[in-house]
Amino acid sequence: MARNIRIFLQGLLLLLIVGVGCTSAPSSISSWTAQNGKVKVLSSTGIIDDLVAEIGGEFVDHTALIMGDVDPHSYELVKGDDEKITFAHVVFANGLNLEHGASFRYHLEHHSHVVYLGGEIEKIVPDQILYNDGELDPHIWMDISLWVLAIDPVIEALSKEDPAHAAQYRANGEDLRAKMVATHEKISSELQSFSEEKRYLVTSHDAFHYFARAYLAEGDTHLDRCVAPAGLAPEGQLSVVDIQRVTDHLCDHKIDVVFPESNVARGALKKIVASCKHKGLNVRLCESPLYGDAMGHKGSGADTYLLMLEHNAKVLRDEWAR
Amino acid sequence: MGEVNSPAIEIKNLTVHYGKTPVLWEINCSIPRGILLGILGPNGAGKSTLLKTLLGQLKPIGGETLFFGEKLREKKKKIAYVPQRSSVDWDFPINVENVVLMGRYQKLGMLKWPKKADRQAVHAVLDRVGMLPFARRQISQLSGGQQQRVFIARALLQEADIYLMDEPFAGVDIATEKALIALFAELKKEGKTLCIVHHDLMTVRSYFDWILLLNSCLIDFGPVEEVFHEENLKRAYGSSAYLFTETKKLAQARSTGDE
Amino acid sequence: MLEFFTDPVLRAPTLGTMLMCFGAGLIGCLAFLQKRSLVGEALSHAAYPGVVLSILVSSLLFPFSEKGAALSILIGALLTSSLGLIVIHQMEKRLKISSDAALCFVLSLFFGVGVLFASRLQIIQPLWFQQIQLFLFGQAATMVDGHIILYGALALFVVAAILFLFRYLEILYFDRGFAKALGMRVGPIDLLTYFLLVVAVIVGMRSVGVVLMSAMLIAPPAAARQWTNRFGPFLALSSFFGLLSGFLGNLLSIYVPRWVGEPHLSLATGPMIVLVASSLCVASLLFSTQRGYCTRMARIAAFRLETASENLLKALYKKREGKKSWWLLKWLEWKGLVENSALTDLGVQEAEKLIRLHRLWEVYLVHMGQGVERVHASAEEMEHILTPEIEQELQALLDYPTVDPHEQPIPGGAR
Repeated sequence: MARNIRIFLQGLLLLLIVGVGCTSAPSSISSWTAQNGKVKVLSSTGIIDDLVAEIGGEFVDHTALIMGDVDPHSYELVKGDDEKITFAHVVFANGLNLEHGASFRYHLEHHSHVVYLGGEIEKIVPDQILYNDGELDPHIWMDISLWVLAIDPVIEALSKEDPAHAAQYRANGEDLRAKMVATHEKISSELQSFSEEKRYLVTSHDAFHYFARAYLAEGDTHLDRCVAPAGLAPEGQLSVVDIQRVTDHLCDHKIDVVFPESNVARGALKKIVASCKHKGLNVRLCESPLYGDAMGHKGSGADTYLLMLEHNAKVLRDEWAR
Repeated sequence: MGEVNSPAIEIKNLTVHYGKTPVLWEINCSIPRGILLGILGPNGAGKSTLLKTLLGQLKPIGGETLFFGEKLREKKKKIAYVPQRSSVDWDFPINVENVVLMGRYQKLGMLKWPKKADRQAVHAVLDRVGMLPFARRQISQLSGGQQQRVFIARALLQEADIYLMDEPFAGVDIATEKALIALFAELKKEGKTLCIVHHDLMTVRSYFDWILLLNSCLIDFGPVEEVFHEENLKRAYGSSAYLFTETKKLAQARSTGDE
Repeated sequence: MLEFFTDPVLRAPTLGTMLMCFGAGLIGCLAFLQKRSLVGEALSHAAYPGVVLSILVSSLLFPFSEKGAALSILIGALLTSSLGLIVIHQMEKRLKISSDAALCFVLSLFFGVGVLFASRLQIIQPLWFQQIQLFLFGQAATMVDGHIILYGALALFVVAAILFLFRYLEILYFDRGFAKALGMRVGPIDLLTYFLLVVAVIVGMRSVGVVLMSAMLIAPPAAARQWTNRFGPFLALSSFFGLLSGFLGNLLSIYVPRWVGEPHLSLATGPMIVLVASSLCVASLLFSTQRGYCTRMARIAAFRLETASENLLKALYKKREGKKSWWLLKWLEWKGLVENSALTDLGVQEAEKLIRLHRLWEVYLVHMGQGVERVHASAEEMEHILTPEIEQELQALLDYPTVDPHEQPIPGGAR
């Protein structure tokens, strides 16, 4: 009897392992490697992929390596990734140290045509790049006025690979530029309409400094506008010093709402909310998350770059209006 | 109820198996009170097994044992056991005094705190074995002979009537051995029964009154002058006995699937 | 300092980890005494696949319940940890594999399976993947008041169990045969201690993590063992060291950034606690009053000093020529044995004692059958070691000799 149970459990375990191992990632490698004459463009994040989609349109085969809510900072390659990289004609990465997983960096550096968009922006406006405690802040897409400078390098790279459609790429790029500038103006005016004491942003990790500087700050107080317990990458070890710092910040400025992010755990923010309650400050955790390192899922209303930023602005507006 | 004159230990048809291999076969003997019994036999003869079975640590396949005419359960407090020294963890953080105090736990139970009278009893018994100056010493700092004396002291504290000892003289210096055998003689005078597994054939005649010769089955049992002679020893230790031991090992290997 | 127990940000990590380390220090003693300290390491690593698998399963069954996920993590960890324990036990008993091999096998196998599933989880449920990574290294900083209650209950349970079983454990771990002879139910007690170990590991994972949990089970008992030779004080000291490590770890993670002038330096609490515990262990190994390495070195140095000064004393007595170390002279002066480079009365007495011991020992060695030519070297060493008690015994044994084997007189020998 015991022997039968043992065999049954062993079989179940085996089935579980094999089953999970066999379910493959949704992307189909076979279509990517098929030769269909189009330029194959691989982007590291979904945000960059969205840019490529707008500019390249149906003339390119594009895909993103880091999908969904996966954290781009610590991403390491999984099965199938290096095939995707090898077969891509162009690889767009964020640069500015966003992709610092070792295997990922290695493959990026060894590709024949890789464009670091953040690096390109840095070449144009080097003094606009932010540093956090001496380290490069890579979240440059949170400021539309800076991200718009990435359009030209994309057009250039695509035109180089596919000169036949260069004109279309340029046209699409200009369309996108107009849309981005318009959104930038809209968000600016919406958020600046709130009084200065309201415009404070507390989130899960330091992803919003560019955003804070562009839309919330007065002059250069962006460091004060945007505070978070975790550092530039959400995988870092937290200490009570971080919790204390944010709690004190909330109490000092009498902030009443904190904003979680879609793809970062909320444990730290919950602890901060509880601590503030004990200190007499009533803080609430906003129900809709902000999108920082990743866009929303399909159908969430924040599944493109511009929609994502508009969604963030809307959430802030709604909470501050309460 | 046991009679006043029932033997100390009565063993009837005792058979013990280890897995499928028989280790003790049909042991039959009646150990009288107030003697020093030496249990002899070659390695693997089942001497330690016999002691452990008597104490109830091993379950026999057949047969029974009676102590003063009653079952083990009734008489457990009257039996003291001194195990082999190698079976103990000598790095344990405990000193001599507390080891001996363990002999009191059967009386105190597991939850009561030892009183002054108990501690005095410990000191008295340590003095009897000559270990009183070492009362606070950590046990790992003791020599072989000193360790053995501490164990005997613990058994003494149990105030038992039957003492079962497994190779108490192994690895012990001559002075300690002489002191211990003198102590055992005293205990015998007090009417205690001592059953001692022994390995040194040279000293059997001078130490013991009765002997039990074992080699999985009972070779012989009785007063030492009658039983301790060459023919018996040949049957227990000689080459024919060696064949017996080898065959037993083979049986064990077969039943556990070894090569 | 009091704010560590009152401030809402600090009190949960501080009290929670202190209580957890208290319990772990106590349980760790049992594994330590069985010489199986690494069991904690194997069990904490064996818990990891349980954590991952339970998240995978609960994300399929109840997608959005956080409380459900937390509970299933606990259950999953308990299951795989217990499974690991069973596997270790079977490997040792049935397959006759040595203890450390079985532990390493279970550790790497289970952890490997956990990592395998975790990389799958990274794609399916990235948010929960981060939660699980928390269990790898712990995150004491985000503990809330509820954790204080949880860890308090654990500590209370452990203390109660150990107090109740105190006598049993003492006998069981020292002399298993005697325990059985007393009629102790050895099996259930073993089972209970293993259960306590598994529970301590699972519950402690949250604060110091899978990787570091074993340190809290090993360092406090190893440190405590250096200071005591009794079972009760051993348990008490070990749990105290655990408590202390918990507190100091929290303290240092706040104060060290201030001391080095980098107020935003982030030092996670779990690793700090482990660092403190390990330092306590190393300090105990070096400096404990009985067995510490440095203590013993100091004793050896002191003995060498005594020997050197006694040799100098003899040289002065025998009026030998040659360079004399002036600081040894100063040392003898300070002891009142020498004045102005000449022996005092006390010095003469001491020197004669040395020579007496030397020659007495030579007589003894010859008495034992050593050749006369060979006894001098041994006596040179032994004269510094023989105690007055041994001297008396030698005198009695050798019948108060007056000359040594080289026909030299033994000073103060005749009695």
